[in-house]
Amino acid sequence: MKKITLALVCFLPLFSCVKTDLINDRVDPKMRISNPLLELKKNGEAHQFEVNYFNYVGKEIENPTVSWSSSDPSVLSITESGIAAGVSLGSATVTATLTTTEENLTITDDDVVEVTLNETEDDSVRFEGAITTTSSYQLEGSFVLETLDNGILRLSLGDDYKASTSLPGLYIYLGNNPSSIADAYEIGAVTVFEGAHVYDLPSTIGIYDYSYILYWCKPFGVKVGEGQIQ
Amino acid sequence: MKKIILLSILFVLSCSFFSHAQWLEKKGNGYFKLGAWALEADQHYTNTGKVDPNATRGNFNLNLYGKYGLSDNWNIIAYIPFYVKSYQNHRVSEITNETLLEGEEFSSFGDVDLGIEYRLFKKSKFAFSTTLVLGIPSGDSSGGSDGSYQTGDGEFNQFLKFNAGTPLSLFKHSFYAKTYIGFNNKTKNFSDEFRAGIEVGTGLFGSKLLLLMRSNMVKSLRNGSLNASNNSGSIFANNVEFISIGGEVAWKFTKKIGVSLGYDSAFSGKIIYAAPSYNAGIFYLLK
Repeated sequence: MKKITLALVCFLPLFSCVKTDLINDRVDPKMRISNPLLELKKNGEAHQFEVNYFNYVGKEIENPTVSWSSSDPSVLSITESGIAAGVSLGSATVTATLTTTEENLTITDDDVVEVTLNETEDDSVRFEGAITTTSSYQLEGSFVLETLDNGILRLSLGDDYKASTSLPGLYIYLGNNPSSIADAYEIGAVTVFEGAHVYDLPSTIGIYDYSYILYWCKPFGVKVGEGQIQ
Repeated sequence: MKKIILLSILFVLSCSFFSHAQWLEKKGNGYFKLGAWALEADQHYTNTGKVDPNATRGNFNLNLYGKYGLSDNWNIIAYIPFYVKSYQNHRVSEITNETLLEGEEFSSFGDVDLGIEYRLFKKSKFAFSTTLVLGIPSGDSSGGSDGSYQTGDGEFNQFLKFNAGTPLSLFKHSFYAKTYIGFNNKTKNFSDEFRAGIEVGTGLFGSKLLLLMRSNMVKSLRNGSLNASNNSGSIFANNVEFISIGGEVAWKFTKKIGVSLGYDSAFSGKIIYAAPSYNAGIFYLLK
């Protein structure tokens, strides 16, 4: 027993060292048209459609190869590079199609565009949703993500928002992978634990850039709650 | 969660070390131990008592424990974790093999406990004593890159407990039983705590082999205002609670020197790791 104990005293430090946790952070690849239109003026200025593509771990891939199509080219024409023009009055669906290089999956995103004589001014986009806990800690509330008139992207948490004050190191992120914050945007440490409050986000972030609001216990590397932006 | 966890860990630890001395040491006698203690956990009890996952974290320390008889009625006690390490594993994607979160470790001196025990009285088979333990914030309460790798809680606490013990005879074999209840007065807006424990042990092979089982509990009085919302997002938390069960086996290979192996684990709790801890040590009996 003496030898066993001595061995334990000597070897406990060896086991008590930094090792590796393997995390399954796979998500379904996702592509979104990042500048969709509600309306396009007939014979007016053309519109260059663009996409954001997030691969199987939610990492954004720049300049993906996308093919574009219009459901009715006689209403809305679109080039191979995604430049659309209004041809005649009516409605058409623009479809972006991408085949992932990693898994050879075909994913699409659509945008229904009305071709009109005159474009309306108001093309603001607003996402509403709910934060729900993914842990045993209390975390709940509604949210709105919207672009304000001054161009600021604002995340607003509602009056019904509540978060446990027992959570240490609680941070809020915008991300595209609910299982990882490796490529997420860190909004900051949570300092409000009840009631309505807002986060104004930098102008470099677009409203279509992220799919999830993530609440993460940063020091312990674990997700506490999430809200899907859709 | 962190500090919480660390604190609880250290308390469980100190409980186990403090339980080694069966009764007060006589004048000039002492019990000294060089020990190692380790815990690693990938889940924890939340504030609701449920178990949630976390990145694998670990704590390890090397410590000295001593109890010495100033007189037959007065003992001094010291627990000195002279090397405390807190660490977290790397988190790596099993899909891409990319590192999602770098692991980290931090080590320093830990929080020292200094105590004094006084024999209240001994009557018939029963012995009663009281112990005052001072928790010295000698560790680092903000270690590591994000301050979460604490090796101490940063607060000075005073733990006063009352101990009772008696020998027992069961199935023609001698046992002992000890129990304590105590109050831990904590500072810096931490909640005070009620603590209690019980220990049953026996000696075998002419008392060369000591076997014991113990259970400890901590109940927060929830009178401290410290929480994540008013602590600038610090990881330090409050209101740790647990009930643990554990055991220890010690072998004296001479009359003065022996070794011990121990195990403790919280089977219910709040804001504490949900994983067992292990300890091993070499002790010396001064007679």
